[in-house]
Amino acid sequence: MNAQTRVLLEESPVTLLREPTAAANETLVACAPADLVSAGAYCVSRGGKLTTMVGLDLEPLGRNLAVEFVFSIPAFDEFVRIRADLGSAGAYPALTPTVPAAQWYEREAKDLLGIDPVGHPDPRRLVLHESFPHGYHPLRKHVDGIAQPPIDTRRFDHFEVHGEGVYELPVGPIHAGIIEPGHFRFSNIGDVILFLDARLFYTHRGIEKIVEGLSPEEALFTVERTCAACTVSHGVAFASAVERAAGASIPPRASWLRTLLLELERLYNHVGDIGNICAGAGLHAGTSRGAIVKERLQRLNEALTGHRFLMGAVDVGGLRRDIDAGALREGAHELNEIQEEFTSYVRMLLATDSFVHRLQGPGRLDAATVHPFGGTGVTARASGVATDYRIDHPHAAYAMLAPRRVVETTGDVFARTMVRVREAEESFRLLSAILDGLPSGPVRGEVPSPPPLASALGYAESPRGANVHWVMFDEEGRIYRLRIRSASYANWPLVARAVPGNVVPDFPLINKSFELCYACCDR
Amino acid sequence: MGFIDLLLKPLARPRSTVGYPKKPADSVSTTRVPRFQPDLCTNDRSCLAICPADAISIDPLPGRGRRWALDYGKCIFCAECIRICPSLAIRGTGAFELAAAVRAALVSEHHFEGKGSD
Repeated sequence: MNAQTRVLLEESPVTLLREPTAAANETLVACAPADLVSAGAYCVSRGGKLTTMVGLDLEPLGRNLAVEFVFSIPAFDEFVRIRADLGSAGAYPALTPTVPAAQWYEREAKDLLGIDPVGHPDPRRLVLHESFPHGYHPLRKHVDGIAQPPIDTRRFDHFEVHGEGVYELPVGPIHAGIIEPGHFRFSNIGDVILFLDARLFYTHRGIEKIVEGLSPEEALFTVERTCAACTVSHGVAFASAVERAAGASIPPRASWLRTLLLELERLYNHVGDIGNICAGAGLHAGTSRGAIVKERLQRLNEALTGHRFLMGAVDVGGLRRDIDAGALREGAHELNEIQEEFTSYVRMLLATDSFVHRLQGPGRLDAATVHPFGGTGVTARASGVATDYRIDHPHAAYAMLAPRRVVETTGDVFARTMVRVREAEESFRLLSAILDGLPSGPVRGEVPSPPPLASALGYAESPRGANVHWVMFDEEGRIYRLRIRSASYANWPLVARAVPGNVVPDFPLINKSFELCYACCDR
Repeated sequence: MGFIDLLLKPLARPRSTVGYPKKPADSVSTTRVPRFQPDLCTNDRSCLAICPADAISIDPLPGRGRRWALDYGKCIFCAECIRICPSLAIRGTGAFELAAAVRAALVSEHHFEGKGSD
């Protein structure tokens, strides 16, 4: 805990009792359930951003249900974790009316653990759809995660807009093409969208339940499959949460190579997303050239790690194995060529006026909306909210590499595209700096078993924003509870806010400009 | 830029496709395709336990002996069996030409004889 955090705790209007944590930039405090709202509002007033929220079933430990709200304080790289024991009632006054970013977290804890956020403005189900029976809360410790609950047949609730000429347009959950499932309920008047209600979580896999009782090494295999497109970010976030809980550090070469993998992941995602935005705008030459550059990057991924999506490279304590020096040399050469190709590709896109004009305007999101709802990554930076965990909470080797912050202010499809273009350019620069300065040495260090009931956060800036993993261990160093907060989870509620006022045909383009992941919610 | 220049421009660009299958696909460097080496197997069954796709099976043969089989049709090439095998009896290779005309041909098997089925 640093000096600024000490001041923050001393000046708190509510009583916050400090508990020990292993990680240097985490402060765990306990408060009464009745004080949660004022404690949360206080944290936000001091520059805190709600980063994740965890519901906990501590009954097997002879305690009660509990909630923990985690606030990131970017100004001085600190995480304040406010925990409240909910007693036998399992209820607390909802934070959402005061801290809107809490909306999904609180609904999720209600579904999965039966923790009641009293006074939540949207009491509908989120993760468990209405087909799940009443009172079924799979993350409660006494519930068997494998057993199938009976199917309920209630109608699902969605918001309705009434008025002359208003009609509803239901889309999904099954879509044309191979994309993930999501139901979008548009309320329109003519072509103009008045309201969008998005329903996700159709293929929730219960990863957080499956990994309970596993050792961190066993769990990593499943955790890094949360999502293919940000598998490295999930792997690094989870592995570093384990390392931080155990008070272990990893060898320098391992943290540089993790940074290399994180940037390779960002690069192929950003390039692929730019290509997809071309598809949304009907610029086929742009789609194809984007696909070519992305393919070259994925082949590079394969040459370096044996996997086109970079899976299985990260390990608890570092990396599974070192990357061969010859492959790194060839990789550096290939990256130079790909960068030239990318530069020429971007020049073509930006010289195509019809394309640029198509992107300017739709899906506008302003900082005043992004901020309270806790937007992260490209979504936030395109709207002038300068959050970037690589700089605010330096992890892996980012403290040494000083990445440049990329911010655009118009908040439309064009801004989100340009953030990706400029960040891809920055990734090329970072990759070259990593390959030049890569220290030698081992790529894996021993990680001792975390102390009984230890908990910690791990995080990584994924291509879509911060992935934050919260892990708690049992007495034997096995996983007691894991909470995966992906960047897409934080950003999805903002898509629904970017859409009203646009016309229906712009929705695919707007959705592609966010390029959020469904699997990251269905974890 | 003149019209002719514009037409000629693609010719100056390097080709983006590869010559495979006429030329070997040298960009493929996967090391995650498991290849079983029966002479090294000590039958400790860790591969069977770790395989997340149930692609590996070990069954007793009639009489004595056992059958070790890997179904490439189920394998997800995660390389966990390669990592876990204590006797290095499963090697990671770059073999990628796994296509077969029928599903059954994707099963690679080895019969161990005489040493009991355990």
